[in-house]
Amino acid sequence: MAADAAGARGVFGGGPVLELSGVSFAYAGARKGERQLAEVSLSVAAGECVVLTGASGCGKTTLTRVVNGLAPHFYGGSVEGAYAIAGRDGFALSVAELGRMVASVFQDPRSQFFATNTTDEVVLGMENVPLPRAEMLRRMHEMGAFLGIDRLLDRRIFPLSSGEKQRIAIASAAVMQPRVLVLDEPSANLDAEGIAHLSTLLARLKERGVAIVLSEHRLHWVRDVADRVALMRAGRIERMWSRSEALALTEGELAEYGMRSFAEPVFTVGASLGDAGAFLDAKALSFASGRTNVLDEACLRAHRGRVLAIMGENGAGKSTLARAVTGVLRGCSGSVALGGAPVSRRGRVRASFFVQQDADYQLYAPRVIDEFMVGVKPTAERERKAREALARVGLAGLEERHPLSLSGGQKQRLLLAVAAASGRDLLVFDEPTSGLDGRNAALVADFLRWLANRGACVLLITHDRDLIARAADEVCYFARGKPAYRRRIEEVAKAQGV
Amino acid sequence: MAEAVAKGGAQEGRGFIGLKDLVFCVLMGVLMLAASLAVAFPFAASLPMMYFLVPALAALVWGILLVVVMAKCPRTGAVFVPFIVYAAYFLASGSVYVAAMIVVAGLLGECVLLKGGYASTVRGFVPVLLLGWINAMGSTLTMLLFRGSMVQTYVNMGMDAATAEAAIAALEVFWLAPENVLLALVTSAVGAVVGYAVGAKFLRRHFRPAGVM
Amino acid sequence: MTDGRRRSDARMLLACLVASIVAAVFAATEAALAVAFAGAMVAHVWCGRAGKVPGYVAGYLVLAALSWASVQMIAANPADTLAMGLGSIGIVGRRALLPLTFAAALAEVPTGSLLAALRACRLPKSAGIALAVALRFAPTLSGEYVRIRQSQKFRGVGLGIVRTLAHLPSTAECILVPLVIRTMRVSDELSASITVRGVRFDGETTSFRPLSFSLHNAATLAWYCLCVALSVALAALTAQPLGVGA
Repeated sequence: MAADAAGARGVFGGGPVLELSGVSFAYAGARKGERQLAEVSLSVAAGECVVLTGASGCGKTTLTRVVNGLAPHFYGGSVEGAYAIAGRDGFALSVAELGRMVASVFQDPRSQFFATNTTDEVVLGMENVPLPRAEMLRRMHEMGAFLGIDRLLDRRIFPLSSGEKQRIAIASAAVMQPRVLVLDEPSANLDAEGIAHLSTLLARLKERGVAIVLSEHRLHWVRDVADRVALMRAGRIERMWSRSEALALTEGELAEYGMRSFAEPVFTVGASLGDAGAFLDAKALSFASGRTNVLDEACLRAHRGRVLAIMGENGAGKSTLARAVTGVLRGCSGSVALGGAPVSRRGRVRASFFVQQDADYQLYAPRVIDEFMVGVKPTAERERKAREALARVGLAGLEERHPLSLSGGQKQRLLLAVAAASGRDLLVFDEPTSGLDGRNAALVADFLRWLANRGACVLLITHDRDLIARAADEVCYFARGKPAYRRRIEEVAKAQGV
Repeated sequence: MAEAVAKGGAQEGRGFIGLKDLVFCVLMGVLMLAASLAVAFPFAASLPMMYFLVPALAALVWGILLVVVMAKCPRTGAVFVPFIVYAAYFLASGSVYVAAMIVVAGLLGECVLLKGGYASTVRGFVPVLLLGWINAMGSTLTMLLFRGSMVQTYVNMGMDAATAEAAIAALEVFWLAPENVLLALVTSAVGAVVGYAVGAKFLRRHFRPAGVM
Repeated sequence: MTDGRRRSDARMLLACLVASIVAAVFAATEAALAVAFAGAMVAHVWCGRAGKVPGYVAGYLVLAALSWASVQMIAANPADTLAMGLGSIGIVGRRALLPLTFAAALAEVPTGSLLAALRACRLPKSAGIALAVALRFAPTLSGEYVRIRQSQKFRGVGLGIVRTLAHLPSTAECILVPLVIRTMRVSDELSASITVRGVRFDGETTSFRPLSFSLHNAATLAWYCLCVALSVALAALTAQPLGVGA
């Protein structure tokens, strides 16, 4: 494609660092004729950033796996086509050899760490080349200053925030001085501050000539770092835009492609809707973990028929608040009333439904339709409501599938449907659009609105401003264990200057 | 650049476990160890429960999890790794006899599974049964190892030697009585059978339809 | 980390663990066990782990109290199985505590140093990788379990002891299935992450942290081995002669 060829020259000139020509890939065990990648051609130059986007299942992650060699060497399968990396045949190299040129950062900071100490994690790749110790030290010092992670070194990994963990993961990749950096939805678990850091780090690495291949749904943070945007569908690159072409796409075109917006919405907020008639009345919630006050005399009120979005940095206490309000958190002081009457912790568990971010913890049944019958007696009425809810979230026809065989977005929507069918009065959702493409994120937003319109009291914990703009009536900003402010959303506009 | 057609990925049912399998088997071994400790903890002070019930419950959980290991990594070494993790815990807590027996059982289990054993329903049950029996006899072996220490402690804490010996002898009678040994072996075998059957059911009902196998 | 911990070579801790196993098996008398335990606590203080010592001492005393209680109960009723059970916990538990304290210290050694130490001990690379993976995963297991149990409560599963016991098979299924699935996902992602960074069974590695068995490590090990030797000798000299089955 013209845009692809033109883009591949990049800032540093010369030919592409990475070149895929007619690459097709099918995972082992795939049905005959089914391919996750279909004749993909892509060139990326030094210092260039190509963003891969598209609906779940379009092949973005598989493409990143082909680039870093995990497909087919780790995730078995068959690959066809040609792959050139820095002038060498990528398919002829082992994953370890490719790893010296192609570094990877994965989505979930919790599960990609091998070591328990940050320094050991950063040096892991260098130790396995292996580089001489003096060279490792030199690169550590250089990267520590370059990436601003000096204060994070030589610490235990577990207590770090998601953003800090992601920075360590990037440092671990950057010290390899790769030609190409591959990132698979790196912003999924990050708050606004974490995303800003991530964007800055990538910009610095680009300046050093690192080619970046970035798979991402949340496009607002990549607009300054992306050089080209590739839309994938059914394993193919369907469209390729330059940065300016991508930013010129209208909201309607983005919606048609199923993409999220490049511009984050700007809210005009007004006075709070007031506390009169609040269904949820939580007072003086306090909870300490170790020496940290996770919740600090937090008070929260929310109404039936409305969606209250709770924003704040990672570690502010939002999820802990949700667990306290819904009754699963032990050892929390304070009181919670629902519908004007104080309710015990156990009573709140029965009256509420909390959908957490990771669906794998919340799916137990052998079939999708059976998820609605977990813990209750199956009845015809329950099955009817379940099918109705599934249809509303776009999962009709998948009743007989195993819930864990669904895609990430489908699992999230299934849990929304289960929450709706529960008939509970208080519904809490933690990052329900994490990892979702634009089309599915809009579907989720509309579904949350529908739940509120049906009379439920909906609490929404999220960093996703598009979701808030589409679904929420009020926004509450949470900081240091308590609400900092609560305001009604009066008007939503897109940020200027995009 | 010339076109390349390559196939790759984990070996299918042949050879030894690779890095990916090792990581999975270690994590499952940690899970099995945690489950064993969780099952034992509520009954730790009751000798009859520790002898007859806990090994059965542990064998049940181990049966389910070992079936998953064998299905996910049908290669030599996959079953041995969780045994080693379990043995390492007992070694690190001083129960040398038990640790040694677990290693022997793990090696025996792998030998039984050679040449297609991972795909065999009957042979696949053997490691589960072996571990169930080790669990059943574990407390007995521990008692035998620390017998002298127990007597000395009772004496040092004020009991006379004869009473201390009699108390330990009563304990030995409990742990070594043939009918109790047989009962413990039977209950743990029952637990292993149930666990193996439930594991197979979970494979059909959950793990294969979920696409994780 | 304190300087003491930074100086603790994993090989020294491994050797102390082995010595502790010897002490657990052969320090049969209370006095001998106390000598070994005291020596271990001093070693931990020298290794910069003084903060852990009060907890270990408290555990030792609680288990000793259990032993003492069982002695009193057995004196009153020699056939008391509960007393025997408590006694077993108190006696075996204190012996298990010795090597477990050094295993806990080993778990805090930076992964790179641990792997390098195991390689220096001529153990296969897979052993180091397995140990590192186990130490990295074990602390997260309880968090995984808690998240699953909290989610279940909204589905009416595992609400209260009675309900849990009444529906034990389905509750167990609802715990085990997501726990195994999560373990599979973590395993896949972790092994993918280390594979792209070149971790493999074959191939050379160079440790970022240089191994050095310092004078401090040697002195700590010598001290503890001396304590273990003393405790074993003390047990041999002062143990009450035993009857049949000793």
